Amino acid sequence: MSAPAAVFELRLRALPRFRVDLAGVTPLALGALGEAEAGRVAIRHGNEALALGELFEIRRRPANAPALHFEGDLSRFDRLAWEMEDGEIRVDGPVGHYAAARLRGGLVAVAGDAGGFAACEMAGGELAVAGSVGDFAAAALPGSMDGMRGGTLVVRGDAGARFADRMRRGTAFVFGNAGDFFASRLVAGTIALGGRCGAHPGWAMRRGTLVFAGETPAVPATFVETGHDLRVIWTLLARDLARAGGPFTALPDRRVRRFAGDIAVDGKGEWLLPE
Amino acid sequence: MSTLRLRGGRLYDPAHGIDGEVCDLGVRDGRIVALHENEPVDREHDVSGMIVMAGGIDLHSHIGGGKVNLARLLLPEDHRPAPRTDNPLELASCGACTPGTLATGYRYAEMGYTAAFEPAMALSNARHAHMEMGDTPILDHGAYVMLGNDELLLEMLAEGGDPALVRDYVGWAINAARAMGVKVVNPGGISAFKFNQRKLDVDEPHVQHRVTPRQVVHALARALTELAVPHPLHIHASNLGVAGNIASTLATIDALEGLRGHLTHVQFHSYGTEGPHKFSSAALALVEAVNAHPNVSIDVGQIIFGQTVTASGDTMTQIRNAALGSPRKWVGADIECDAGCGLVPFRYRDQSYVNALQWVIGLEIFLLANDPWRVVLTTDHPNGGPFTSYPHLIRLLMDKSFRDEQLARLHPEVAAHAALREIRRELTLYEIAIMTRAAPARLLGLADRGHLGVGAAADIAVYREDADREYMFRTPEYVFKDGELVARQGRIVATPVGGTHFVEPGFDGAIEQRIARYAEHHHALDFRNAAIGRDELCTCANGGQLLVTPCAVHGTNGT
Amino acid sequence: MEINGIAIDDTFAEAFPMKATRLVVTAHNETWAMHAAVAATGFATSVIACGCEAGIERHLDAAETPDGRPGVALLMFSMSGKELAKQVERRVGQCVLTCPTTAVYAGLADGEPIALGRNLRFFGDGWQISKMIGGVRYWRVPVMDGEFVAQETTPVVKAVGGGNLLILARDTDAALAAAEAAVATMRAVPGVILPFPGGVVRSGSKVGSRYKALPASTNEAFCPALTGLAAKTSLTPEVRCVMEIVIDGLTEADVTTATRAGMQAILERGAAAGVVRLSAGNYGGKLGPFHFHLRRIIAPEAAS
Ligand SMILES: [Zn+2]
Ligand SMILES: [Zn+2]
Repeated sequence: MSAPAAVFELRLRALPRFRVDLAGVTPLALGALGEAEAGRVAIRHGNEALALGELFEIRRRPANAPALHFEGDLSRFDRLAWEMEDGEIRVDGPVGHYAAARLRGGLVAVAGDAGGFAACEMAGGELAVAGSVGDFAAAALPGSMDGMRGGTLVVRGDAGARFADRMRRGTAFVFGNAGDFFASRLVAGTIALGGRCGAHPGWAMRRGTLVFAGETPAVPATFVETGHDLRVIWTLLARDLARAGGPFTALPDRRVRRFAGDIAVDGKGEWLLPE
Repeated sequence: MSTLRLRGGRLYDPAHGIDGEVCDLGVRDGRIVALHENEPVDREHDVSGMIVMAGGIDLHSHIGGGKVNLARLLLPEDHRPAPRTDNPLELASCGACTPGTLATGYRYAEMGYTAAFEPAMALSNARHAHMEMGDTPILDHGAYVMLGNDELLLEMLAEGGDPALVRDYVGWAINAARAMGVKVVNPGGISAFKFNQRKLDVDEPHVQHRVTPRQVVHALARALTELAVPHPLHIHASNLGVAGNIASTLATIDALEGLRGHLTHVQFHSYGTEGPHKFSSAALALVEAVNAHPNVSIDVGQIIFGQTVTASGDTMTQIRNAALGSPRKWVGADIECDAGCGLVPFRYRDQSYVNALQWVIGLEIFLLANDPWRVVLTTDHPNGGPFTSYPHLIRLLMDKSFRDEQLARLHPEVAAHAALREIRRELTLYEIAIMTRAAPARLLGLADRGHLGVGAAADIAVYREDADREYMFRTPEYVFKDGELVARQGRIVATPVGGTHFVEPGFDGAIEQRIARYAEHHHALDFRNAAIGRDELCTCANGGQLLVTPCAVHGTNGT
Repeated sequence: MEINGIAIDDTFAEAFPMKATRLVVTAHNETWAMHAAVAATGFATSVIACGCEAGIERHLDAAETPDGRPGVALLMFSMSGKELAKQVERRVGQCVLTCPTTAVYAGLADGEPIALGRNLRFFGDGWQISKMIGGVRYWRVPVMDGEFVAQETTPVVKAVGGGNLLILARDTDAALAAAEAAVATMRAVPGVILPFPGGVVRSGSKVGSRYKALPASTNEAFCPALTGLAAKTSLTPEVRCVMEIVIDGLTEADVTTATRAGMQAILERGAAAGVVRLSAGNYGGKLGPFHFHLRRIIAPEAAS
């Protein structure tokens, strides 16, 4: 990286009247700018353009790695870290929709809740949400063939409906509960759920792995139990998932049942149900 | 009373043989009039040095109806890169190959087009088509109702095809759907598909009804002739996209037996089977047949490289194409067994042998045809490419060196061997004016559109002369719709509601009994709701003008 | 130089660059891990005709393996990465995939990857499943005892092959005892294998032969039967038996460490145990870039 790295602290002045589009406001984009220049970066507020500095008090200090630290209630701010390539963004409160959507690298940490489509079509990097996420997290944008396709999503709260719809690769954790159609149309990847889920989990999943560390869901007729010894792959997987902590810590010590499905589609996916 | 004068422009008005004459143009209350040169006017624009033409008319563009809407649903990603306009007159609308209704109107008007016709309106879905077109600002619009795969017509033909019966049925359908004409799509083939036939050539019988496409084409062409509908039968011939389909296309021309017919998107129907890939250009054979048959007109359906979506009533073809889709998803649908519908996203690639050859074939047709009055410029939006690529297409036709540059980038086998390399012709502004205005107006029977004569509607496009014809045709200096300035230098400045073109051929009302009986047995919709009344059409059309083209008997030849 | 009455020749072992990989084979218990490991490293004494030189590096406790089961670390060496890839695929395919309860993983962190499970997965006939865990891809192939898990690739590194130590003794008993003692200590060194049976080879060779078809032949200079006959001999009449230990290692330092450990084991036993001299094989230093000088290895400060 040639530009000198900097940490920007952005303190929200007041809740904006309309929704704000934060696409383009990334650590790398701001990194080369001074405090005043950063304040002049144009962002979309409703149907009008607004300077970043009108919404945030901005402070810049040099650092080893580029980062943005947002302070305040960002629940009206959408597309945080949209298509971000690298760097770090931390938010000390909630954020709006599309948080870390299409993320390619770097770290995004949200202390509050995130709206719909969090980490959707994310391809690399990590999104960690301390609160809950809305519907379609780790899923595909409408029309796209693939959802999340790499990286790690950690949700410490609950997830809405259609979590990881069409997800293709990567690892996603939900510490709490998930809504209906959890991991529907999953293409591949690994998802671990700490709590319980709504109706139709794994609906039409083709490949991939769902680990239900919490409440065991009713297994639909389109999933079949495979009675074989799978301790090897389970140990490999459980040890990796356990590093996320919380409800997953004890996974390596639990015995597991395996169901394959959804045989209504491809049938190469699996549910792992620890006892 | 409002008057307008365009002073000093160079007029291209082929309907009156005017080829670049410098002349003032007067407008009063939305109509072109002869103004005395000293007569004071409300507005005057100095357009000296600029090129003045009638507004463009697209006689084949999928802009309304269930199919178009399904395409939008299928490709939401086409709507993601929302063009952020700062023009408060433009309401939010986006999309490139599946633009929303509003974007369709804005983008057409911006490039000097003032009318577009939806070619494939399902009879049972005509209301939806009119509503979508009514929601499309600025443009006048109309639609052709799809017949020829409806079970009732096939039944009638199977019974012997009493011409009077067919004529009255067609007349009823045009009136019911408020159509401008009739399109037949893969004659009989869409129905045959439902009986598990996967191809149907011109003289192959439908397994159920034992009717051939030849019979369907002839019966419909005859009915339209007898009904005196100005627009000839709009024919999407058999075997679209199949190597060697030129034989079917020529057989279809033959089936007309001299009756008028408009072969649409002929590029997709002009394929031979020569060469190492068993896929070759049959443009020459097609053009020779068209030249030899004055009863036949064509539009080309040029392909443009890039992402689009193919939208067709031809379920049989689209099932075959689904595997080639990119991105790989598709939709098929059917309503009331009227016809069919298939949407397959497609990316035309210049490095694909087949796509490169398709591109070449379309251009060869444009450049080899000797009567521009029977050739209309289309990309079969969005099938060959979005209509927004017309300025690019015009440059390809007018600029040999630009064309050669593009040709050199194609799949090497195509670039090296295409007959197109040897074609020196560059279309003139006069010829472009024919293919984009005068000819489509004449083929549709629009007496007061597509020309700049006194009494014509003041749909006018004024272009600033530029050697780069693509730039010139993309950004007209002024565009007037019915005398109102709607676009200025590529920016929308007014968004009037467009009118609806349709015809009202007379027919014997006794036919309704039979249709009602059929509908009662086979349709989900109540026959009593089938026909769209005038008031209802007015509502559908967003209060726009109802533009009826009379069905006066006129000559059977195209020109 | 002489230590404990044993002479150390002023010579060096000459070694060559090779390509190597480490595999970790685990199984339900140590017995089955060993069965797989022994089979996979069988018939792998010399690249001359075996395609690779392979051996067991060490046993692994359950706590040391990725899947928490007992295992074995193997090292495999070939003259090229391509040949190594071929040998890995054949040996793992025939000897590990087939062996009850086993799984196989890459044992090195970095290097140019070659296929491990990538091609073996096709044994699954379409039922195989890939799984990414912690950034690593594994293949799961359904087999009769459950599923065979194999990491997708294994890294290949540059390595050193053909280090050697010659033990010149008064008789067969003395030579064998010395060689066995050396092998026992050398095998404890990480990163090396001794590819010959029991770690010892008696058919030391020279390059070329009077027979056109043979690229190598017996090294008459070290054959006691030819001491008085051959034009050139390296032996004295009291040497009646010579043994060689060949060493392949992941790095030059590993080979050095192993050579030193072997020499020390022999020297500690003293001349009374029947060893007369220690020597090494080379080609005059023209063929191999790695030279292991015996005197410098055993007494770095004394020599030079
Ligand atoms: Zn068509
Ligand atoms: Zn069309």
